[in-house]
Amino acid sequence: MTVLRGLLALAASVFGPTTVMAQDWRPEYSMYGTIGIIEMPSALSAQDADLSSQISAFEDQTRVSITFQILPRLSGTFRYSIIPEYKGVDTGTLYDRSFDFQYQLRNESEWLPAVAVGLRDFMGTGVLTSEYVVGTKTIGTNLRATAGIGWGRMGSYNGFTNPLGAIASAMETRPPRSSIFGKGGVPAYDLYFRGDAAVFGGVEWQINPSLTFAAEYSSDAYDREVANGTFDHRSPLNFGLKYHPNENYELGIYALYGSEIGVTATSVLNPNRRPAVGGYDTAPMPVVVRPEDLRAARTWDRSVLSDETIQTALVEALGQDGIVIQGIELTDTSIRLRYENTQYRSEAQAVGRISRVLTYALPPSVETFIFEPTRLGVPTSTTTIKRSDLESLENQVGSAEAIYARADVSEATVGDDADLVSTQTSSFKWGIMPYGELTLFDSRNPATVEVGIEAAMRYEIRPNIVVAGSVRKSVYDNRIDNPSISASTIEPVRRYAPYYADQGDGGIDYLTFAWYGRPASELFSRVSFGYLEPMFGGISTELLWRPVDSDLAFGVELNYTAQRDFDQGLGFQDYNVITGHLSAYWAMQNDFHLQVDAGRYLAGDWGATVSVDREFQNGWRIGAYATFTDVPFEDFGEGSFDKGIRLTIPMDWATGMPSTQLVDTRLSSLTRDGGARLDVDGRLYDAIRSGDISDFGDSWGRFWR
Amino acid sequence: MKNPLIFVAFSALVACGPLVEGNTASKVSAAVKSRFTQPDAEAIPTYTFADLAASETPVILAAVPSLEVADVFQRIGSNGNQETWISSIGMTITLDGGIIVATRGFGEDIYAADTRGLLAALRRGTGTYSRRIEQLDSSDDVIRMEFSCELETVGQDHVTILDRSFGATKLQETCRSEDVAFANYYWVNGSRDVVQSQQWLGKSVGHATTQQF
Repeated sequence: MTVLRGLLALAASVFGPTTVMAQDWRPEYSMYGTIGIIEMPSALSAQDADLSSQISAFEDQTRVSITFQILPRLSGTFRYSIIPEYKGVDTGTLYDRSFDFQYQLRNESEWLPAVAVGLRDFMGTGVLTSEYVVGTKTIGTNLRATAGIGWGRMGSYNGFTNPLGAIASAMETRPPRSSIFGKGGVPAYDLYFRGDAAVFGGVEWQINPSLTFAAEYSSDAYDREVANGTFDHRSPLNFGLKYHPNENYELGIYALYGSEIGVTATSVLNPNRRPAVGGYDTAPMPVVVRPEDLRAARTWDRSVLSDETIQTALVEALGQDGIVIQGIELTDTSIRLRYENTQYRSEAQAVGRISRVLTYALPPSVETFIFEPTRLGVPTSTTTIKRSDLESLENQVGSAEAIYARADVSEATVGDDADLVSTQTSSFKWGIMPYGELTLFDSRNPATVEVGIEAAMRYEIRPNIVVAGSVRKSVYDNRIDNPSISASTIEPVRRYAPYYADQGDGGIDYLTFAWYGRPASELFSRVSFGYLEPMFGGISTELLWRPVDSDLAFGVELNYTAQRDFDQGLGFQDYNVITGHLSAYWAMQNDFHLQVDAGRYLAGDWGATVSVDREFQNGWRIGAYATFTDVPFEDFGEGSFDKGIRLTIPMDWATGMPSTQLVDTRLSSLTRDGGARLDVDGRLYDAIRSGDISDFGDSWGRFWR
Repeated sequence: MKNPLIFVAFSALVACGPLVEGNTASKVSAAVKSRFTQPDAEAIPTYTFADLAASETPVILAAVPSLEVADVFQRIGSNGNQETWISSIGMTITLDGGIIVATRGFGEDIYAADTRGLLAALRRGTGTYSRRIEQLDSSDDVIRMEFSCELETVGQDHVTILDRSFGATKLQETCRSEDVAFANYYWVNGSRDVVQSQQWLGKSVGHATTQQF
């Protein structure tokens, strides 16, 4: 090995460094998890799609904030604040959720500042509510100055009569918080920009590329906290140091209001900044190029190489790459493969990898490769690749666009299975594994944890006919003992969750029979039967219309279910309900996705759920949803209506290793009854869509990986 | 407010059964294990130039310092003038006339690259030309970087490959795009074949070194 070490040394010794242009001074974070100075905002925007998480703390408050740069100029923040002694010394702790938006009206130019308008805590219970307009200007290369005007909390120190009173005198009076917010969760637009206003401002000075000094004049007087004796406001001036060694982290320490020390830790992820760049997938087979004189061959000698030999070899070779072959049709000049890709998030990458294995395994006369990837055991599309294109395009600049242009992607065949030699027999799988559930940011407990052991089984009678079940036994949880449920006029469905958690330990989590089908071209179907989810069992049916190259899809779902016993055994309670939805899905060209589900929910309430997600080609999704039903806001309980934010991070993005797994995180109130949907596994749209390959944007860049 | 946690490390330790196989947790644990069980340096044979030059399957030596990779790469395929070489742990380098046109398995890889202008300049010993290098970015998009390049002969130099030293001509290539610049070096023998090189792969991976027989 000494020799190779010598090679390494040689390699290390000679090189000229790569020169890369210097980075700009990135905007930095405030103690509210948004872009800003210390407690006050600035008018700058984070990099598009930055997703930051921050913990900030001083004696009076701890805030956990998640901010997403939704669009280059628009950011949204979810915040969970822990406020001890909320109502005065020695009173209890308040756990409060809040949301912010900031919109940048204009970018900074040579002479004029960037200007932004923002709403802080605009629909929570109003504890932190402020509105502001702010401008920020960079002076030279390492100084930024910010000035703004604020209302609400940010209009409380040295406030003056609202200048907007010139437009309407009603603007001069801010209604009391209690009269507006009620149960919270509804935008308090009667409040915005009303009452006294105050000015704030500050400077940020970049000492060196990783260290910034900040000073600000805060217009938040902490009136409520000072009045109840929990806060000492001695000065409006705050000072801080922020350390940001790279674009992924920021640490800050602050002197606040002449009386407090505060700290922040911020972590920034960006879907467009994958740690492993293109991924650490092991190298694919190179294309095996046929000698010129053999390309015109019409057939091959099957006494030397039988079809069975080829099929067996393919099943084995592709199996090692996580491709489960379900059927093969081999002719003199073509091969049709139906398979499930269990390894690669990008279906185009699976096609690329299989293609190259085929150039290895097939006689020269086989020129046409036809791919039928399946999801839920059902083929989702048909892609045809010419072997000669693989030979001529490999490693050429422009090869990704070229192979996509020459590939033919069309609707999967329906019922054309006669010539397909089935290579997959029924399969039974089982597993015993730990599970963990973390319920975050509840209004009574910041983090509820449950961990335990799960025993699961999955029997695929055929790839599209599946019996699956799971039993869970909790080992540890920190839930509140002896749960009680609050009274309400709504049928208790999700409100019973604590009873299921308490009495259902060791019970059946789910036990279902599911049959997925493709009744006609562009149509997919599902029938699920059994104990569909921890709280409901019955039958669930679904039909989805989704052409292979369409941005639009429509679905219909109809369920008849009954409430399960709390012990999660085989029994049911008296409550049963017919639920169902009509769904419309629209994958917009600008990478946003809109979904509307209208219909009847578990408590028998009628309404609709609207979901908007920003989607990234590499599988990231960040979005929000809200459900409005005929349950009145005051009956719904805290939050007024069901809403939440959700985040999907593909495992291969995080680890760099190929995987089809996705990590889903959702922040929502699951324990409410209004707008509760059946939680059935195997809904068609997301599953079918994850196999998309018709668009170049469906990760065709991964074809040659 | 629910968040199913993936207990990667925990699962890797206690999970069992076919349903668990092939999930990311088990792959991560396998990868971690393999990282800590690298082959014993003593057990790796020390090759001589003659050994490798006479190898039944043609081989090259290649190293990527930033990844601490240095290995004997075996030829596993060819397409026209392109030859693909694979390391013992499954990374590949594809060369066309000694120039890297593709790599796989390095994370930040060369997806594809042009060679025509550079090959002609290498034959002449000098030249200016444009080059395109493609990479796959974090969003699964193929990014095409366009470089203006210049090749010039540095002079005679000594090349040492394993236990053998010989004279070769050293050439330097400098390339510049809007936001990146790099320098590559090539050592060619009397028949203008590249026998040693250091070539740029990307901003974070840096350079690779190759030695041919």
